[in-house]
Amino acid sequence: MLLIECPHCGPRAETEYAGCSEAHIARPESGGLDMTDAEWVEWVFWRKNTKGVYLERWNHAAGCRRWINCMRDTVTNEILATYKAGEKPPKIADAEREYKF
Amino acid sequence: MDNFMRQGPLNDLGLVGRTSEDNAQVTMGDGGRPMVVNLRLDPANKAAMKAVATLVGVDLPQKANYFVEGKETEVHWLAPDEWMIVSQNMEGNELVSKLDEALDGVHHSAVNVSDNFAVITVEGEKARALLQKAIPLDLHPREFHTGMSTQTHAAKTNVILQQVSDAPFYKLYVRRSFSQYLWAWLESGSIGFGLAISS
Ligand SMILES: [Zn+2]
Repeated sequence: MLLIECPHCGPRAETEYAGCSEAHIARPESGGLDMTDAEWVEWVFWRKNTKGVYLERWNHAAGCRRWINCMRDTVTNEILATYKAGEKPPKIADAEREYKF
Repeated sequence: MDNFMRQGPLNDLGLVGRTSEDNAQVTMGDGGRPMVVNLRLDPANKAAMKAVATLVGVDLPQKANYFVEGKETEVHWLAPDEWMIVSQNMEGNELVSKLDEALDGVHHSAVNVSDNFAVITVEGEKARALLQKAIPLDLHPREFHTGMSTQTHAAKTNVILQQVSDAPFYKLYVRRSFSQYLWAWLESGSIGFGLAISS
C-alpha cells in the first residue's frame, strides 16, 4: 500500500484517497457563455494523457475530505509531491519527466 | 414511543447483560449518543474564532489530528476549517442556534449531526492490536497517542478515531447505519484476545 502525504493530515494510506483526473484546469471566467460547443467540450472532457509526470486532483475522501493536488509519474506510479488545492506545483527535479510513447 | 425513539443504533445487538470472556484483553462498549455539532469556519477570522471559543469553553484546535477539551465539550480537528464539537451535557440544536447567533454575518456552517453517529469504545491491552487490523494508520504511540483524533477508515467504513487515554482507550465515531457492521467486524477480529463488554 502506498503512503501518500496529505498536506493537511500527514502521511495516509492510499485507501483513504480518491484520485480524480487532471489538476489546474481553471473554470472559464465567463462560465462558458461566450464559448463555442467545441471549446466547452474541450474544457469539460478533454484531458492530457501524459506518459510521465502528471498533475492530478485527489480527494482525501476518508480523511479531511479536502481536495489536494498530486504530482505523480504515470509510468512508475511514483508520487513526487502533494500540495494544497490552489497552490502552484513545487519546482522540483524530475517534475518535467516524460517518456516516449 | 419516546423510549423507542431514543434507542441507540447498537441496541439491537443486545449488549446489555452479555457475558464477558475470561481473561479478556479487549473491552468493547456502546459509547452512547453524545451531542455532536459540525462547525465550518475560516480560521483566519480571529474574532469569529474567539466568539466560538467563548461558547464552547476552549480555543478551536488548529493542530491537525488533535482534539482539545473544554469544560463541557471536546473539540476535534477535522480539517483546516472544520471541527466536531462533542458534549455529553449540551443540547445540539441549542448550541447551533447560539453559534449561529454569535457568527451572525460571518460565512460559516453549524449543523447538529448528533443523530449521524454511533460511538464504539475499545479499550484494554489488545485494543491497539485489534484496531490495527482494521485501520491503515500507524497506531503506535509514537505516531498516534492520547489527545489525538482523526478521520480515517476502519475496515470498509469511515470513522473518526479518538484516543482518550493511555490505557489505551479509544472511541470510534461511526455512521450509525454502519455501526453494527463495524461492531461485528471488530468482534470477530477480537477472537483470540478475549472480549469483554463494558456496561
Ligand atoms: Zn487530509
